[in-house]
Amino acid sequence: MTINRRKFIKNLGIASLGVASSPSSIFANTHSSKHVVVIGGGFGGATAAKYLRLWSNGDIKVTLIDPLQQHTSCVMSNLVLNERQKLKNLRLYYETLKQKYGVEHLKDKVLDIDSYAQKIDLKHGESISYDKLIISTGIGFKKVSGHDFRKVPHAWIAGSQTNILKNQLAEMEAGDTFVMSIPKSPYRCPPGPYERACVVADMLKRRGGGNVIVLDANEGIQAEKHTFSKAFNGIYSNIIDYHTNVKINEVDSNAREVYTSDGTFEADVLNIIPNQKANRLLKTASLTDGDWAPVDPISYESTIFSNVHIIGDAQATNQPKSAHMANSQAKVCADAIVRSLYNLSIYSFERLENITTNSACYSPITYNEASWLTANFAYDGVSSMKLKHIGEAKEWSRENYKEMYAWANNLFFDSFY
Amino acid sequence: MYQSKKVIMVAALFTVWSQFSFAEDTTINRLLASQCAQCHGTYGMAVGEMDGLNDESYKDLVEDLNDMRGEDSLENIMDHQAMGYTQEQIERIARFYDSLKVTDLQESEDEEEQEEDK
Ligand SMILES: Cc1cc2nc3c(=O)[nH]c(=O)nc-3n(C[C@H](O)[C@H](O)[C@H](O)COP(=O)(O)OP(=O)(O)OC[C@H]3O[C@@H](n4cnc5c(N)ncnc54)[C@H](O)[C@@H]3O)c2cc1C
Repeated sequence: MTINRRKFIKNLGIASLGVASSPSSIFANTHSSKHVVVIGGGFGGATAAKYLRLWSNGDIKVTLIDPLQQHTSCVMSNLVLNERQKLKNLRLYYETLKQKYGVEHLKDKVLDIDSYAQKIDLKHGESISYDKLIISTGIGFKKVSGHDFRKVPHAWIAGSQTNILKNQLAEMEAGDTFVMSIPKSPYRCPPGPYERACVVADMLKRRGGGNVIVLDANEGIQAEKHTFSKAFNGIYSNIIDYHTNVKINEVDSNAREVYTSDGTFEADVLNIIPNQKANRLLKTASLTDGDWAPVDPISYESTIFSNVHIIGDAQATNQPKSAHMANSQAKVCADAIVRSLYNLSIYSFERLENITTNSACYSPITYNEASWLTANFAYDGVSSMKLKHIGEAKEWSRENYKEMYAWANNLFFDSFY
Repeated sequence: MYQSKKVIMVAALFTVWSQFSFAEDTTINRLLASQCAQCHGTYGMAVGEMDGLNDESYKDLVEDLNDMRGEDSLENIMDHQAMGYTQEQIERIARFYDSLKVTDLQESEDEEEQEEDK
């Protein structure tokens, strides 16, 4: 269905914020002096760029900076491991954001940010200035001694890492041992590592059996506890050996061995997912306090520097680090930026009462069955987001597995297309 | 005649006043509703097998979401999602999607415009 253009203008853009704009300016070249730069074209950054253009009726100039032509989605990437999904189908190109919404894509890497001068330094191009800056550059890793990512992949940023792990797994035979670690919370995608353990256990089961040793840095399962306990102790009880409170001390990447507080583990395939922190740029730009970047969740503006907003995995709120959530935060952030660039309050009682975010996640448990998890957050009226409701699937099913594709496709579209 | 003009003016003033004092900020409805878009598409235009929301009426959407919240046993993902919103928020979301509905009249206006453009 196409949407009536006049109605679109009436309901959706800044016209409804009382800001004049001529219909012809929509998504055409921008002449406005307002410039928002978005660093990082993943789920948070792409969504923010798109919605800034939509909600300003194309009045705000938006430059999206990412070193690649496309983002490779981590969402669904565990299914590349068992060949239920192709990595090329997870490549989400920036071209549509440009063609459809007028988002300028600058193919470059940001090296540093001067938050006083409101300028950013690029690896290749000259520095550029901004009125508002959004950063959604995701995670970085706390590397342990001896960990060579090319030999012992983390596969926690999708792309070449996913392929390395997939190729190693393809060579596994019946009776082989897969050892994986789960990082200390908070980390990207709370159910993701448990989901990966199930996917690999299912692969081994189909090849005649084997061992999956899971070394969790936490004291227990971090998400979908009901589902994963049932899977680990039920259908995979002969395969999965689950350890808690494990600290990784060192990795021998050539021998595929890991030295831990629970002893030494040898693997045919070793998958160490290191502990995490905000991507390096945030620390370089002095935007972190500890591992993550503190923000005010009514706008995602940094509590350290004004006019700099941080969304997605890198920010420090208590919300789960997921793509669905990064998309959700991007909208709250875009709304706040549109308001403040047009001198409208972001503090109205009506707005503060209605700041909500949500997250949903589907997890494959077997070759053709999945479970799900969902969570809703609302602003507490003071300074943080409060968990309002959380739910998980009662059972994994084929129906959920089918729904998982429909959900992911819509998430990809709402963020990138 | 004079009398009826006066009545019309008073009525018009009342309408302006009531709109002013009770007007809600519709961009807040838009922000709330955008949180459905991850699954149901930007402005309710879903892709693939997911249900779209852009042709849902206010009444149906409020009814559906309240039914989901009212389930004795929360079974599916939407039953849980619906629990995350207050009654007022559900109504705001429904008003937003209702405002996107393309009416028969508008559809025929569009068709006429397209004909004229040819
Ligand atoms: C195996 C796995 C499965 C997952 N499954 C789900 C799921 O089912 N549902 C879900 O909601 N989430 C899932 N996630 C989590 C999700 O992928 C992340 O939470 C999400 O991608 C975070 O979005 P982001 O915008 O913060 O960062 P990203 O999406 O990682 O985007 C960061 C972008 O920043 C760019 N960048 C980095 N540094 C710079 C720089 N200096 N200059 C310019 N650009 C830069 C990168 O190139 C990248 O494109 C999963 C994650 C994994 C690993």
